Parts: sequence; structure tokens; C-alpha cells
Amino acid sequence: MAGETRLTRTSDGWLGRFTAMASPCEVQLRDVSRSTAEQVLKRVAGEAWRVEQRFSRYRDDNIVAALQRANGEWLAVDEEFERLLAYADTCWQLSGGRFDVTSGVLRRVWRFDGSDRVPSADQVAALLPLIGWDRVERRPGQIRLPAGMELDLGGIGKEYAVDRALLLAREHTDADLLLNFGGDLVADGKTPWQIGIENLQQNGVAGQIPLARGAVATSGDSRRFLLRDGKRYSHILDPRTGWPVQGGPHSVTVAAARCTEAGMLATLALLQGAGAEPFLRAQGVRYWCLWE
Amino acid sequence: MRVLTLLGCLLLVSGCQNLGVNPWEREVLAREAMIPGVADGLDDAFDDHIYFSKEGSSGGRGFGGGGCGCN
Amino acid sequence: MQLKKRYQPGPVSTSLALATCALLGVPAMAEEADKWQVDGSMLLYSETDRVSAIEPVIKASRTFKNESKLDLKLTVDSLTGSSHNGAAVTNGPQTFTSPSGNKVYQINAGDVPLDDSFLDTRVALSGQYSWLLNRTLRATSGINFSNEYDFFSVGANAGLNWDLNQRNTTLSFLLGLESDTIEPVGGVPEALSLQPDQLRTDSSESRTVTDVLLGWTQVMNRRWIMQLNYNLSLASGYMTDPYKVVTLTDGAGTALESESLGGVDIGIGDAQIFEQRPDSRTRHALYWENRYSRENDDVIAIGYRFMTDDWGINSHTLDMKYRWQLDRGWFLQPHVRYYIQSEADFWYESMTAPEYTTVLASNDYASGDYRLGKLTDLTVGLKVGRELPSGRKWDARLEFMQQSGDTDAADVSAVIGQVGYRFYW
Repeated sequence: MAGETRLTRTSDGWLGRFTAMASPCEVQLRDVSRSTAEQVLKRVAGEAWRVEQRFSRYRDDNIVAALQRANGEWLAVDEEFERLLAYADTCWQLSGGRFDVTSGVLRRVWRFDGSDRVPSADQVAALLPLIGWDRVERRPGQIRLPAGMELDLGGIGKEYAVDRALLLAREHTDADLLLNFGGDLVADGKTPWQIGIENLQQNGVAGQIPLARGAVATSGDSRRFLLRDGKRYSHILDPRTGWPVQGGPHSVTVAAARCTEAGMLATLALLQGAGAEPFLRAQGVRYWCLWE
Repeated sequence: MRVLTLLGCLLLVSGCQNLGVNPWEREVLAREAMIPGVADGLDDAFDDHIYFSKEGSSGGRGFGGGGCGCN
Repeated sequence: MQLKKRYQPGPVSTSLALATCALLGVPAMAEEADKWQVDGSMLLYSETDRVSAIEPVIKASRTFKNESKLDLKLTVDSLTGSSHNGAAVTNGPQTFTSPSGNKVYQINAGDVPLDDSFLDTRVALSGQYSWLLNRTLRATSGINFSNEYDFFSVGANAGLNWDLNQRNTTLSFLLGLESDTIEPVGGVPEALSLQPDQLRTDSSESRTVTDVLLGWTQVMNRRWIMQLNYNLSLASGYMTDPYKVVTLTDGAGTALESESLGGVDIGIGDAQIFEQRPDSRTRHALYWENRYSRENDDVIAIGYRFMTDDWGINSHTLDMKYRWQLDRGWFLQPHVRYYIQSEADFWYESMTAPEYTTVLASNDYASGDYRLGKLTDLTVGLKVGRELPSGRKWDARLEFMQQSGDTDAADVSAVIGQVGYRFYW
């Protein structure tokens, strides 16, 4: 799955751009030749598209789609997918069941388009039997989803692609790098990059932090919600009930060593609802919450 | 007697399925001070050499350091 | 709400960081992956009135991107001083020849016989390489050389480590082969012959040692790890110490005269016979180690080893360390080691003439080396060190060892000092 990439010069290096996972993606490099920048851009974009093709729920030609068609049968999975499943399992355990990659089916009744179309209790309850990571069976190299269940790796995919792309980019150069896939980013180098944090408001303008090595990821979206009878329904759904998490911030940004980690901490924080900030404080990470 | 000890160990190993921790709980065990053979690695190598040349025993912790004419 | 040190990771973020590394297939300590870890260290060893040694060591390790690992180590070992030559403490003077046979020296009545011309420098080199065969199986192999003026050793090893139960259990199988060549200064003495006769063959001897190690490492819980090893060691070839003798006495504490037994006369009390050890030795050792980390990061380490062999020696070793973790990377580690060994079947403090005739007639084994006799060792020490932010660290330890046994020869006190520094390059 290929697409277009564009490379332009910057004051101290290069900026490569492409689109992947429905987001504008960027690679910035310092002090490299044009050919190295082209190689790195090609590798990074290639990896982003590869991860999208393999794990997107919007395609019908990958393992995720095959699982949906498997109808309760055992399906063979490769090593990368197994590692993602192991990771999903870890996150499910760490969150006490709040992070659940089988909760994607709720999308069928919850559409967060700013309208007031909230599903009925019956509609939501009808989907609950199709949710539950503990219903998924795993054997080495294989997985079995009960019929009707599906897997949604959207909560891990983009950040995973960022980290993977960095590892691959490092095979070509030791230069300062910044990879940014639609707001989920990782920096690696000696001189800091200026990173805009949308949840860090300073005089109405998004604030900036210097980052030389590390990742920043944001979870949540202040533009996706439902509003009915004065009550706001956030798009963070609790898979145990099928209903939105109450009382939490609209979005959370976290800084951590790797993008996957940062993104997951942000997601786990949102799933805590009102307990988001105490949770983030207890983890000892830098974070920014948006409450209105 | 030695065969019994070996058998006992093998049985213990197979019964150890429920012992242990999840991968994400290994932060304490990952410290160098908690890894046998690495924690006091160089000390152990020196000590093994000292006591090999001052006593009648050796072995148990692993090998690969090389012989010497001291015993 | 309690104040926490900034960016002290919490339980979830720590676990998540480890899980992320597992997902991406990178080692948890990615920063060190591209560098050599160099450990430089020096041992100073000094026995009261006996041997002193100085031993600098330099070790370099590197983990590669595919998680294979290379360790290289260089050791230089320089000894001076005198050591016990196997003879008994008698109530009269004794006369010996030097190891080369060129000189003669005398020991006063009641003194522990020490051979004064003990000078040796050893150089040893070793390399060990380990690599992953698959996600749960790691292979290792290595070679080592050691060279002194009268001794040369070459060895190789290979092994497998198998992770089970989500890496909570590791089973190890290691095999080692070593070949030693001994070229005693002055030539190989004829075993059990009288030292004054200087019966030598102008040759060298050799021996091989085969070691098998079966290991089981088990994570017991978040804070406790245990290891159990069984080591079988089979040695065959020349095991005798060519410089050591057994004293022939009258049974009442006076050394005999070599000429009364038909030998050459070199002085008073010169009836010393060269020792002879069996030409094979089978050793079994069982080693059990436990490491436990307390909530405050202190670590308790307790190791016990039981050894038995077909020379009649049984030994028990108990080794205990408590690592006291202090602020800002400092630590203190007191250490106690207790060792007890029984005597070899063929150990003699001294031998009478009739005993000698019997032993000689059946070409039996005899040694007066105090290290094969009953022995009790106690070592007490303290180590201090500091771990610095970039992974560097230094440490220093000071220990006192006291040895004692059935004879005065076994009364040895030693001071052990060691300093070390680790850096990345």
C-alpha cells in the first residue's frame, strides 16, 4: 500500500511528509544529505503504510478482517501480531479490564458526531455479549474469537507504527530525528526539538516543550462527543458497561520514553474518568489534561 | 542418592508452573544486584580463584575462567 | 497526598515500559546496546608470612542489536612469597631441596616448612559468546587460555539456556573441557621417591578436566529468585603437585634421615618424599543460591555449596551477603563466608617408615598438602561502592580470611583487597 511522499528543505535539515492512518505524518531530520533523508522518509512512510495495511479495521484484506470472517474458528497469527496481542493482554490486565481491544463493536451503536443520537440501553446491552478480552482464546501462534466478536487495534496501532518507524529509520542514520504521525510523536537525538502540545494552553496558544529524546502521545478528542439534554457523552467507552466514562478530561497528553507507552498511558488515564489526574500523578510521568 | 536428588529437582521444575511473575512484574528482578552470577560477577570470579587455590573444592557456580597451576 | 520524587515511575508505567520493549522486540536497556561495557578491577591478596598476589583484570562486554553478547577478559596474576611445601612440623630441623633441585634450604624445629622461592606470573585470556537460537533458547560458547612458566591451560565450553514459564524458569546445560600441561621446573619428580635423590624425568605431564553443569534458575516471586546447580567434574591425568612432599618421621615427631632409607644425604631431617595423588578425580557439587530484595531495595544473598569427591573430601560452603542500598547510588555490602572440608583419604600429616614401605610397595597415594586435609575457613568482609547515573560504577572491598586445620601448616590469615570501576566505551 503506497502513497505519495514530499520532501522539503528546512533551516537545519529536511522535512518529509505523507499521509497514513487518516493523519498527516511528518519526519524531520537534521544534518543529513538529501539522499539519506529520502531513504529515511521512504522507510518511515513504508512502515506506517505497512502497519496500517496489516492492522487497520477498515480493510478487508488483512488479519483483522480474516478474524472477523473466521466465525469462531482458530486462526493462525504471525509473530508480530502475537506480540501485539500479548501487549493488548498486558494493557487489559493493567487497566483492570477497562482497555479492551474487543470493544470495537460498540461503534455500531455509538457514533460521536456531535449530535444527540444516544443509543438506548437495550441497544448497548445487546452488544455486551460480544465484548470481553477474556472470551478470546489464545494458543501459541493461534487465536480464536467467538463468532460475532472483532478485534480493534486502533488504540495501539498508530503509536506502535511511530516506534517501529524510528527503529527502522535508525538503520539508516544517527542524526537527530523527529517522527510525528498526526500528533503522536517520538524524538531521538542530541539537540531538542520544539514540540507543540495542544493541551498546554498558554494565552490561548498551544504551548511548546523542548524534547530531545522521548515520545508524546495524545488520547481523546475534544471534538468527538454527543450532547443530549445538557449531558455530554465522551467518546471514551467503558467496555464493561458499554457506556461512556464519566467525569474525565476530554483529552490527555502524556510524555514517555516510547510512543506506544505514552499513548497507552494517555488512554488508560482517560479510562479512569474522574481519576485520570491522580492516576497520571501516581505514574510519575509528564502529562497535560484538557478539561473543557 | 544423587539420582534421587536430580529426579526431585526435575519434579520440582515441572510443578513450578504456578511459581513466578508476569513479564511486567520483573522490575525488581531485572536489577543487576538480583541476577545470580552477575550481581557480584567480578568478586565471584576472584573469590573462586582464591578459594580454588587455598582449598580442596571448586565448582558449582559455573565455569569458563580457565585453569591455573595453583592447585 | 504524598509528595513523590518527580518522574519516579509508578507501577503501571514501569510495567508498561517493560511491556512496550517486549512488543517492539528491543532489549530493556537499549541505551547500552551500542557500547562496550568495560570493567577494570584489581585484587590484592596477602597472607601473613606467606603468599602475596596482585591480580589486575580487565573485562569488556558488548550486547549486539540481535541480542547476542560477547565477553572478553584479560587477567594478569603475579604471586610472590612462600607457601607450605607439604612437610610436617617436627621437633627438629629439616632440610629440603628447592623446586628446581639446585639449592638446599633448612627449616628450624617447630616451624611450618615453607618453600621460599615461589615466584609466578600468570596471564589468562578468555572469550565467551552467546546468541539466541529462538525466543526461548540461548546458546553460549567460549574459549580460554592461561599461561605460567610451568603451567599451560587451554579450555573450551558450550551450553544452552532454555527459558520456560514466561521466563520464570530457566534450565541450563553447560559442558566444559580443559586441557592442562604441567612442566615443573627441574623436571617431573618420581612420585614417592626421596627428595634428596632428585630422581626426575625431564618431561612434562598433562591432565584433562571435563565439567558438566545442570542449572535451574527459578523466579519464586517478584522479589525472590533462586538458583540450583549440579556440577559434575571429571579430571584425569597428572593431579600430583610436583613441588610438594610428605615428611617421614619416627612416629614421635622427629623427621627421619634420608640416608637411613638408602637415599642421598643433604642435611638433617631430609627424609621427605615427593607426594603422589590419584590420576583421576570425580567431583560432585550442588550449589544453591537465593536472592531476595526487600521493599527498600536492600538485597539478601545466601549461597550454599556441598561438594563431595572420590578422594574422600566433602565440603560445605556457606556464603552470605547483605547489600544495604543507600541514597544516590551508594551501597554497603557486608559479607561472611564459612567453609569446612574433610580430609582426603590419602592425606598424611607425616608418615612412618613402615607406612612408607607399604605405600611404596603398592604404589599408593600420599599427600601432606594442608589444602587436602581438614580445613575450616572463615572470611569476613565489607564492600562499599556507588552506582553513578550513566551506568558507571565503582566499588572497593576489604576482607579478612582465617584458615585453620589439623596442623599448624593450615593456620593461614589473609587480607583481601579489591577495587573496581565500570565504564562504557
